[in-house]
Amino acid sequence: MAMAELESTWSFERIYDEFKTPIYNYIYHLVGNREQADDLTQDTFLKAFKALPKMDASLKLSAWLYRIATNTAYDALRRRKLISWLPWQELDHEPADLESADPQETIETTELVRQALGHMPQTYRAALLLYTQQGFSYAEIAQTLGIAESGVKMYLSRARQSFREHYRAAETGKPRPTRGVSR
Amino acid sequence: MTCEWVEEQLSAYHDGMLDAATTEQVRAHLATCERCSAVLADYARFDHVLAHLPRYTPAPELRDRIFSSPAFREIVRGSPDAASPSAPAAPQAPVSSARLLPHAARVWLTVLALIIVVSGGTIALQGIMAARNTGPVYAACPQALSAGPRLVYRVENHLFSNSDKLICEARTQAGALWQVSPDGQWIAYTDATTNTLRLVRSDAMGDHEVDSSASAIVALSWSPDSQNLLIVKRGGLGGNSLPVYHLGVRDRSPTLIAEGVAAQLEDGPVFSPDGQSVAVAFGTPDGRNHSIMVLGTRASYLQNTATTARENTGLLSANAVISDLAWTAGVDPRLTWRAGEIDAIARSAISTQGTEQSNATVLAKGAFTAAAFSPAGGKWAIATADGTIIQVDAATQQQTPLAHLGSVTSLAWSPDGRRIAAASNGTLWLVSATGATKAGAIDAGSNPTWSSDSARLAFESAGVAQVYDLDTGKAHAAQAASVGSITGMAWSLENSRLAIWGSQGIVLDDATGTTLVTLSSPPAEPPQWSRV
Repeated sequence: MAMAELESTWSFERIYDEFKTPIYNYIYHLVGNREQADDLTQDTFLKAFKALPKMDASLKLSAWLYRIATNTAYDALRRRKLISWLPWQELDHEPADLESADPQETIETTELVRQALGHMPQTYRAALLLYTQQGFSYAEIAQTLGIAESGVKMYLSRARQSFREHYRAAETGKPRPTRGVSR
Repeated sequence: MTCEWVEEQLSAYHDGMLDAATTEQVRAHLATCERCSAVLADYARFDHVLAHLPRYTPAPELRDRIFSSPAFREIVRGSPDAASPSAPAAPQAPVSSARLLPHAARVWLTVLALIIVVSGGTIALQGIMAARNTGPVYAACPQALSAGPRLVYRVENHLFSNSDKLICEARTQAGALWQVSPDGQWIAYTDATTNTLRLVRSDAMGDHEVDSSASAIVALSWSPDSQNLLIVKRGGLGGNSLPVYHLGVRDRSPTLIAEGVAAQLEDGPVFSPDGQSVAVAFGTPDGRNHSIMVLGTRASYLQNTATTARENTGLLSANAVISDLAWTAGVDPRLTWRAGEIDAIARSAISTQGTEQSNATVLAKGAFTAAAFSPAGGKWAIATADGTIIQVDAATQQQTPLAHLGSVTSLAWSPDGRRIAAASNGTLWLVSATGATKAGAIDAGSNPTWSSDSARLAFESAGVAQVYDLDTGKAHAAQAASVGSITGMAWSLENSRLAIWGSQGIVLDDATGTTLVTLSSPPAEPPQWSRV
């Protein structure tokens, strides 16, 4: 039994290691708060680990994990509306990989994206993140969000319109971030 | 064909998800329409931006939190013995230190999941249930503790009441979080052995469990009527939850007044005098945001509306930690607090506001050496850097200088709000609207402690406790046995006893110099008085 426990722990850890970064980033961009992303990532994996042994063999693990993450984040956002007080918070984690040549530009763009994501409807936000960040197909998004594929088309259209509107607004109306960056 | 119609199609067009005919229509429109072309260009740009946002790696501690959590251990105990030694080994994980390749990773992990799931067996829940049902039985103390004022304190993970054991279960490991109810009748405490929050009567009877995850609790607070116990608890929905347990109504489940508050507890929770509201200050770990929530204590979080009181951060540094949260007395209680840097109070500010959502009113700011609030009087006392003690009315904002004493190191209001004990340059002063009176000579740490009737003031002088009697205007020694270096004092609820504790133990005196009980172990936390 001890060996079995060890083995299943190892397997759960492998799943965590593979999905921790994309799930964490997905949740962070959904809720916009690092502390909450930590907690919600923990909740997501624990929920998944608990349910995994009961799942059917045809399970699409990735879509299923994102579905749990989405629902967990939505739950938190719904409660945040009821107890709404935390501002949309800046991240001060070190990025795992920064590809831009100009860190200042990246930070400014990231700030605009953060604001735009924060202002758009959460349902559309999830669809947009799954498509652009996670590389999901329309079918996978449909499966993850529990909607029809035709619905995904509409969600993404609304998402892009909304994101564009809020990004433009942030771009024109927002003072430049004052945060210092070492070059 | 209108631009509106085309715009509706542009997203799917961009993704190549339109049928051939519609694709052709959109393409034809784009060839002549700059506006729609610009929208399409934006979509492409934003997709690129979103796809190339910096990726953040979750902190390594998160892994530990998950895999060492009780929830995970329970999952492992209950998981199928599918992954037994005979189960096929999972393939090696692909190395992905650079950008993740979501699709490839997904395919691989689906395979991995199938290996885990397909070879699964039944879930061994029985073991978990059995473990839950074999918790320790709490041994009742042989007899109820005798009546009278009783000092509760913790030494080496045991809770005592005077020198008697308050908890008679031998395996109990009382944690640092424990609290005597304001009426002295109940003690809420945490037991590390069973990870439970428990209640025991002050006579050591009626010990019972209240909450089953004590390790998640970060704060306890009793309502003024001792009928409700609020706890602040980590975990669940990604943040703190705040359940209120009701003592008055048997078997009533707790009211969850807030959940998912993702920040760290900074001060409070503090019940309003009428028990209807609770104020609690939270701060983000990066020190950038500090907020106060005011929550109704009767409504669950699903109906509750939080009121937030936000500091005017323009006046404060980033480290403007909130402390000294308090409510004024009376029918329309106001919330007041201090915001400033700990150990650097030059930028302190004190604010007050009603319970409506609004910006705070700054009552005073500057270089304070000490500050204290009197709920009864609704006033702050502030010692400025030049040694002036100023009284500030929390309702009217009126400031009144009371005395000039030189460097003031501590201020303590009498419970009736009429006098302030002020320590300054080796002297303890009693300051009121009519001036300042000397109470006695003091050492550096004088620990001024008022009796609840405001008639007597205990303080340390030359290493022993003194009691200043306001009726006679005289101080006398109130401590016969030594406790080493004094760290604190507390009057019993009816002021008939004075507890004095220090580095070498605790003594209970009758406040006239007669020692009633001597205990040779120093308490882990400040003791609290109960009443049987």
